[in-house]
Amino acid sequence: MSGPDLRDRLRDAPVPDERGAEERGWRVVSAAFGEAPARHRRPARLRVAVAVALLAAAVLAIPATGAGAWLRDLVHPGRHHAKPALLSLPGGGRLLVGSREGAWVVKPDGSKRLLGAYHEAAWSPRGLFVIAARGRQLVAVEPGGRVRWTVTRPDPVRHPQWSPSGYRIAYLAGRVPELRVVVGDGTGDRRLDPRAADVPPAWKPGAAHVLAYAREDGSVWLAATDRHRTLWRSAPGEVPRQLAWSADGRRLLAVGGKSTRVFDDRGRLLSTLPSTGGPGPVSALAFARRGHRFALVQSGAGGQSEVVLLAAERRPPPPRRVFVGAGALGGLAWSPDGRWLLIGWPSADQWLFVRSSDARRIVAVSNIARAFSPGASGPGQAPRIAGWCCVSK
Amino acid sequence: MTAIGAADRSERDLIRAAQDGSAEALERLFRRHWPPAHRAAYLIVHDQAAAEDIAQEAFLAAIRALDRFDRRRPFAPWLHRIVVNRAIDWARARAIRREVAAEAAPEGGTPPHREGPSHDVVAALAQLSPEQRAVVVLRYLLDFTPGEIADALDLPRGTVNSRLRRALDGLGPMLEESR
Repeated sequence: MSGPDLRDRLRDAPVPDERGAEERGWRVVSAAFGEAPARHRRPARLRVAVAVALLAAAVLAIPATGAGAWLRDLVHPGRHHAKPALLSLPGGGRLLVGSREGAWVVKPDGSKRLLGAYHEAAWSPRGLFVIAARGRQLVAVEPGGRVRWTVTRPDPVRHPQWSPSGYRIAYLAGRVPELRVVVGDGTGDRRLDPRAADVPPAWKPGAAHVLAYAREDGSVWLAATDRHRTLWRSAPGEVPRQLAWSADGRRLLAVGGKSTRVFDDRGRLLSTLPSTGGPGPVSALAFARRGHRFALVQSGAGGQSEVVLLAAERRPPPPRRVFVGAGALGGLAWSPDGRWLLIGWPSADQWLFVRSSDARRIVAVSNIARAFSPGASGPGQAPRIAGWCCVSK
Repeated sequence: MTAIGAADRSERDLIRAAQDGSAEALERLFRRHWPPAHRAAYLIVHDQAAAEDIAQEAFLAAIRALDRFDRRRPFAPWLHRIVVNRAIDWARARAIRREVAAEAAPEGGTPPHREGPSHDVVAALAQLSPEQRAVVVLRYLLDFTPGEIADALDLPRGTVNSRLRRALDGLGPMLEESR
């Protein structure tokens, strides 16, 4: 069949209710245009922005402890004047997002691509690949969706993490999780520890293949994976939900529901933060791109959650509150340049991009769940922020 | 000035007017670009409601980005890129959820048969994967070159060519039978 023939058929193919769809589309689009601030309406937009900034400043001026009950009156279920869709990523780079449908890559212009039915995905260090779990398979996939290799295990795999060197991947497999390490090209799969806790392992920054992981008794272990040698292990304690290294590899956090343990790189316990000084458990944590600062999400009284900036030091400075929101806050991620902090806000169906140098600068984006559940009959589930990777492709 | 050049200038003028707040200019842009955008979405997802949603979302994205749109760039390819990528995402998501809407054709299945060659192309497309449908629609409905398709879908040029070849290999016999 010739190209012109196919062209004619495609142009003549019947589209159900084509005219009705066009009219409904125009009603929606014209209504949105009427609400959108065009150039001649910009002064009004500016006034709104100033009002929003002042509100944010009022919220952020509150000290991190002892906030009064009046705070609830300031916090809305969602930022007003949030952008209706993600049209750009402040700070650039690419986001990795997990939803019920699978793993998505969001590009700097806000466009997104569903990689496939992968779960617990993570970036490779330069963003050239994504490593993900799919049932019993460990899958390395390109950001465009092409599968590079797979490793199949007898039991489900989870929590894959790519080493900073790019040459190793750690993951958990089995009902009683065993910790395994595979070479970056999918070869050399081997067990490192047969009794790990079901917690994502964390590679220490640097070229050496040094991995932190937890065991069921709550002890934290550090292993040189190539030599199969334990470097240190901590005393038992609360089983952490998350392990996180500072960018310089000198601090390791073991974040639990009741407390956060701060270790140095030799395994010395520097401090234990009881619920990080906040009223509720920690649900997410992310180290800044430089230094020992980290952001965490904790739930508070009155159905609120907050994001607080802390430092992993023996005598840390007072915490700084970045944001307070009604309901639950979700994941956290720093932009590749470290200038923006992304906060998930499932209760408001929004993402918040907060400028790290000036927390009053907040870019809010709404309709997040639906954006990552295309075609879903309901409102969709809140997606999980899995990583914000490097600018280079 | 050629007719195409005049049309380009006319489109630039419409975009400029829309950027300045002219609803009339926006409606002319909408009426010009909705039909192919909606058709493209439908031919990829084969779902009436989803195609309408996808086309609407693409236009809403266009409105939101209107202030920043570079008038020197053509509007249609930019819009179509949004439409096709959203349609692929939708089709993939449906395949993952394995949901089948009551009135929608099953993914990869045969839609209700209707008479005529134009209906047959819809049925034949349904046999292809969403990715293959997308390259066919971009190439033969929206007149993208293979290089432009590669750019729009963020694929290597060779992948685009192979998808096109496989899609045409699949479509050919089905459409020949319908003659």
